[in-house]
Order: sequence, then C-alpha cells, then structure tokens
Amino acid sequence: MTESIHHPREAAFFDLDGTLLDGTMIPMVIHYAINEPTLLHAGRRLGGMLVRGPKYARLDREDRAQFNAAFYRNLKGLSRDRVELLSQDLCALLRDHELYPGAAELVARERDAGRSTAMVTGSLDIVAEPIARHLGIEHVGCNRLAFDRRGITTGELLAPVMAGPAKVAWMKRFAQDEGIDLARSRAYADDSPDVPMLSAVGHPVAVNPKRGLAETAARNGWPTLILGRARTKDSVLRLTLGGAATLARMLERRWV
Amino acid sequence: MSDDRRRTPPFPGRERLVRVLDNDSAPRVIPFGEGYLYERLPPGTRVVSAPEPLRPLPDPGKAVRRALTHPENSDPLFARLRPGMKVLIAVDDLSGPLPPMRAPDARQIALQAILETMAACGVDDVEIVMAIALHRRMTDREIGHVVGRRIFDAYAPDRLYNLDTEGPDAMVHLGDTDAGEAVHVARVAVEADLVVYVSLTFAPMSGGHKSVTVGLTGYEGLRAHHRPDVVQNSMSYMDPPASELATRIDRMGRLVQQHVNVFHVAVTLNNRIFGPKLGFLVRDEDAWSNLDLLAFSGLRATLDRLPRAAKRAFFHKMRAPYGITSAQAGETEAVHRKTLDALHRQLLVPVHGQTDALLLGVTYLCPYNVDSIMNPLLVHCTALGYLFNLFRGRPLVREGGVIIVCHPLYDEFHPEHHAPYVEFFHRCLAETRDSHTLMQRYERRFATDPAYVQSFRDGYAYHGAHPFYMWYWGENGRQHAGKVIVVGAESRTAADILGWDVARSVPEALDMAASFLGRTPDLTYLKVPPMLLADVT
Repeated sequence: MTESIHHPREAAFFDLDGTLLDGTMIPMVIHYAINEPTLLHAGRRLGGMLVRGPKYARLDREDRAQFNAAFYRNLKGLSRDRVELLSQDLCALLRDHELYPGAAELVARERDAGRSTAMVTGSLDIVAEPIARHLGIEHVGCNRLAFDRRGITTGELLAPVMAGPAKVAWMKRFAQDEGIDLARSRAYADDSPDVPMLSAVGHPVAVNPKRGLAETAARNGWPTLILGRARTKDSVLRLTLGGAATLARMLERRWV
Repeated sequence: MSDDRRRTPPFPGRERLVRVLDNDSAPRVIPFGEGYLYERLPPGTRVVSAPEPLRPLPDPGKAVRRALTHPENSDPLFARLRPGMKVLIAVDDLSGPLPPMRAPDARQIALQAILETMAACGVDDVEIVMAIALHRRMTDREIGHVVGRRIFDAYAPDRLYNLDTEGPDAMVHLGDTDAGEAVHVARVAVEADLVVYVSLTFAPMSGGHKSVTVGLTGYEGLRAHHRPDVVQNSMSYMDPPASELATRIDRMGRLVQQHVNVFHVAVTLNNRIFGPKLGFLVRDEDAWSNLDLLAFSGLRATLDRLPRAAKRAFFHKMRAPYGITSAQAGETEAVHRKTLDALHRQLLVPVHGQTDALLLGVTYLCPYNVDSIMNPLLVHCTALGYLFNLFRGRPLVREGGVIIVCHPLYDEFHPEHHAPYVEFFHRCLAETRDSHTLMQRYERRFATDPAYVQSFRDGYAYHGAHPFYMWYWGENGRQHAGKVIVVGAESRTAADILGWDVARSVPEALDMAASFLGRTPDLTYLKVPPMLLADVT
C-alpha cells in the first residue's frame, strides 16, 4: 500500500488598487458619475461627492471598510445594466492605461512558480473580476453592490465589506478550502489598511507602499517592491491629478 | 612568480607609505560610516597609506582617440567598422569609481571618442547598454552623469538603457568551457556585429574578461564563479594570477570571444578622491597644519550634530576630482595587461611582514550602495571582502589573526535597493552563516522569487541572488581571520548575526584582541580610502 502525502499548496494574494493598478477607487466612481445621462445628473452626483469629501477623508483614515461602504453609496440609483455597461468601458480603460507595467509579469511569475493566485480587494466585482481575468488571476475576493428587485443599486455593499480584517477572513477561508499553507504564501499590498492581509502570510511584500506601510515594512523587514514607473508621494495632489485625468479622458470619450 | 608580477616595475620611495607610529605621533583619522574616528593608536602600530595621486593625462580625450587608432593586438576601431553594421557599446555601471567621478566622467570621454569614430565610419545602428548584470538599474540621472547629457539626450531611452538580464530570452548559452563552466551572455551582445566595451577599471579584480563575461551576463552566467569555494581559493581576488575567480572568468571570457566580436576600451584613474577642501583627510596626520586640524575638528563637530540622513545626503553628493591616468583599447587581454600596469602604478605599496591584528575603517560607501544605505551585509562585504583582499602575496593579517572593523553597524537597509538583503540577513543568515548551506538552501529561491525578480526588473532593487554574493565575497576573509571585532556597533543583533564581537572603542577592541591572541598584538592600520594594494612579502 502506498501512502499518499498531502503537501499544502502555496498562494499569492494581490490587492488591486495601488498594488497592481495605478490608482484608487475614487476615479472609478467618478467614471460612473460623469457618465450620467445628463450633465445635470452628473453635476449633482459629483457635487455630492465633493461636499462629502472631508467625511470620506476621515473615514479613509479611520476605517477602510466604512469608507468603502460610504463611498460606494455614490452609485445609488444606477441600473444594473448601466453599471455593467459602464464597467466594460472602465475596465478597458484601466487595463490599457492604469495597470502597472510589471503587474502582469509579476502575476505570471507567481503562477509559474506553482502558486495559486487570488485577488483580495475592496474594489467592486464589476471591475475586479475582469481585471483578474485579464491578469490570469484565478480567484477573486471583492466587494459586490446590492441591487433591489428592480435591478437598481441601493448604494449598499453586500456583507462582508471587503477591507482590512475581512480580507484576512476571506484568505483564511480560501486557504482552508484550497489546502493552502498561509505561512508559505505571499501577499502583495500597498497601504496600511492592508497590514492585516500582509501579516496573515509568511512572505508579505509591500508594493509601492504609502508612508504608513513603508514604515511598517521597514520595521518588520518586509521586502518593498516598486512596480513600474517612479511614483510621486501619495498626496491630495496625486489623487486630484488622477481624478482629473480620468475626468478628462471621460469627457474626451463622451463629448468630443 | 607570474609574468604579470615580474612586469610590475619597482616603485622607489613607497616604503615610506608604511609608517610606524611612536609616542609623538598624532592621532589617526579612521573612517567610521558617515563620520570619522580620531584615535591615538599604540606606539609601534604600522599605518599603511595610499600613494600620492599619479599625474593625470593632460588631454584624456586625445589619449582615448589615440588608443582607438593605435590599439593593442587589434586593428584600429575604424578598421573594424563597416557601414550598416550593428554595434553595441557596453559601459561599466555605477558601482565604480567610488566616490563617483566629477563630470565629465571618464566613460563619457571615452564614449564621445568612440561615437565620433562610429559616425565618421557611417555606422549608425548603435545602442549603448549599461552593463549592470545583477546590480540595480541605474536611474536616468545616474546614466546621464556617466555618459553625459548630450549622449543621454541623443540615445535614451530606446538606444541607451540598462541591461535587462531577467527579460524573456535575454541570455544566450554559448556553451561550456573545458572545465564545465556554463557561459551565458546577453543576447544583445551576441547578436551585435561588434561589441565595444568601455570599462572604467579602478580595482585589479575588475576589467579584462570580467567586463563582458560578468557585466553582460545574468544569474546563470554568474553561477560558475560567484561561489564561496571560488572566493575561498582566491588569495586574493585583487591579484588576478592568484585568483581562482579571475582564472575561471578568463577561461569563460576566451569562450565568449569565439562567439562575440569584442573591442575593449579601458581607462584608469588616479586616486584623487578629495578636492583641496577635504584633502587633509588623506594626508599624513603628522603633517597636518593647524588649519587642517581646525578643518577636521569643524567637520567632525558638524557631522556629530547632523542626523544620519543628512550626513548621507552630504557624503553621497560628493564627486571626486579624479584624473585619468591611462587609456588603452583593442584586444581584451592585451588591454587588461596595460590596465593592470596602470593600476599597479597607482595602488601598490610594499609591506614587509604580516600583522596579528588589522584595523580597518569602513566608510559610508561601497560599490553597492551608491545613493543608498551601507547596511550591515555591505559592511561585512567591504571589510572581510574588499578591504581584506587589498593585498597580493600574503594577506596583511596573519592566519588566525584579528580583524578590527570600525563602523556604527546599524541595522538599516534601503527598502527598495536592498529589498532581498533584508530577508537574507534576518532570516537566512540568522539561521546559518555557512556559505555552502546558504547557497544550496536559499540562493536559487531568492534568484527566482517573483517579487525580487520584479523589483529588479521594474524597480531599482539588486537581484535576489546579490545578497548571497555579498556574503560569499567575505568568504576568504572569514576563513582566514580568527576573530572579527566591530568597534562602535549600534546594533548588537546585526553583529551577532555576522558573528562579530563588539567593542565600544578601539582600545577596548585591542584589549579583546590581546586576550584572544594571548599577547599584545602587532597592529597594522590599513588607511583606506584612497584605495591601495599592499604587496606583502
């Protein structure tokens, strides 16, 4: 009789925004807002976001899950087919312009090394899943919008809201289901709210780390990976420029 | 004795560069990271200092042009050019000279002459590659400094770039040597009709076949010689005839030349690392004027009060006013013989007899932390690797002797440049210091780690295998020394990981050395920089 020995497998977990993708969810939500049927609707939705800006900034500092939940409320009232249609445009845009040059290669190297690949992100499924498919990432843990019976977004996210510790819960469940040894696995992320996700694996990597994570990585001896072009420091200016660039591209596509 | 050594001319008067201190001798300046110690060393201590800078060539551009038209063992460059041919110019990277050279860099001067010749011969399919092998990529600013703004603007980024040794299909396996060494060279070099290699050689271990065989290869190509057993059999690797490293690289280089058409251009520098303002730092302290003493006190007082980041910024901005002492071109081995002669003229200092204890000061800089941090692994590599190996004949310190290293040894790593070092130092080296075990257990995993490969290709990190080489580089020093004591270590953990004892001061280190050796040791202080090569008999 031969004895079969089960070797736990390894996985590589990737955050999306700021890690594989140059940007945050903010320009993505602006994309949906700016593509409202009329200028009046678009202005109202963007104006609302601007007014609530300080609240978002505070929530982002305090609790990423609450920030995600609050920010995605800006999508309330959109129909399912419209969200899906706009997502196709957005994904093409992100895929062609916002993915870091080394992102696809990094994922491919992890896959070639025999690791399962999984994206664990606070982004919406309508964005995360197509990009994961494009990169060849097999599994996705992400946020999902709630729709009412008429197929209109309620602005709420389905529980659990994917951020911070919820990402770790997803990773643990995934590891259990797939026979993954987290101690031998890797995680890639860019910001402090992802420290739990990075701490859950044996080989964490800080990618393009923002200040808080850069310090944590230095303290813990985590490798720092700078993907692609030289980055400016994360700042209001950068976020504004990123948002403005997306807006400009949207305007160009729609009205010019 | 080898031909190379017989050819080296005697250098009369260099015996005075070995000074024996007495009771009246002034304290000595000892490099100490981003600062200096000023220590009164015991009477009887030998201080080995570098020779004066050689007189530079009056017109280096003219010297390079002459070398191109009157090459060694080769047709002139213009005679090897044909319109329409594809030429690759490979250039030594930022790992030398140290500190970097004040503009114009010697490589820029050589490149200008080469490109003029190309243009005159109607050769316009020219690409320039920085031969980084597994070093970190150079930034645009760094490349611009090396090649000059005009060349940078004309060629970058499409025709002037860092070699990508991890790119898909980037290497070609040219075959194996008779001794079984696998030779891999970058495809861009193999597919070029002519490779012109511009080397700026500042140490005898560099240049020659090492330029193409090491500079234009990747991980698989380095595995034949970047190994602990090879370093162990190289006593020293700064003395090519006694170096297994050089023997293997030469053997591989001859195979490369059967497949790649190489024209070598080499320039050497003198050792003028400081301008007049800081010139006192390399002068004999007994010859200091009151003004020198005042300037040194002012420098120390300033450095003592500055945070380390500011001190680093100050030192890393320094550019050295080297002068070019020789330029030669042509066939690789013939060029290298002339290059070694020029280097020996600048570096050799005759020293009689070994020492019980060798005192070394480690500065803020080594080949692998330009604009970066001197992390503990690099301190180890500099002390037990490069500084220990600055000899030919016999090591300065006797077998089983003590090496005293002065450096603040802080546990700091540049998060991007030295990303794989952190894991190597704190995870692998904390587990074992045995080079062979480290190589077998971890080297390939690091070399193929997706995060490290990606940091190397897209970011500015050293390759995943590089920290291993930094450990291997100290192999012969580690095996030779009976004990290593570090003076002023801030991180006892880092010292423990390296296996070094810690002393708070030089006198305490000397007491520890005496207790280890069972008697008061003879002490020799190797005053570097500027660099020298102790010819120990």
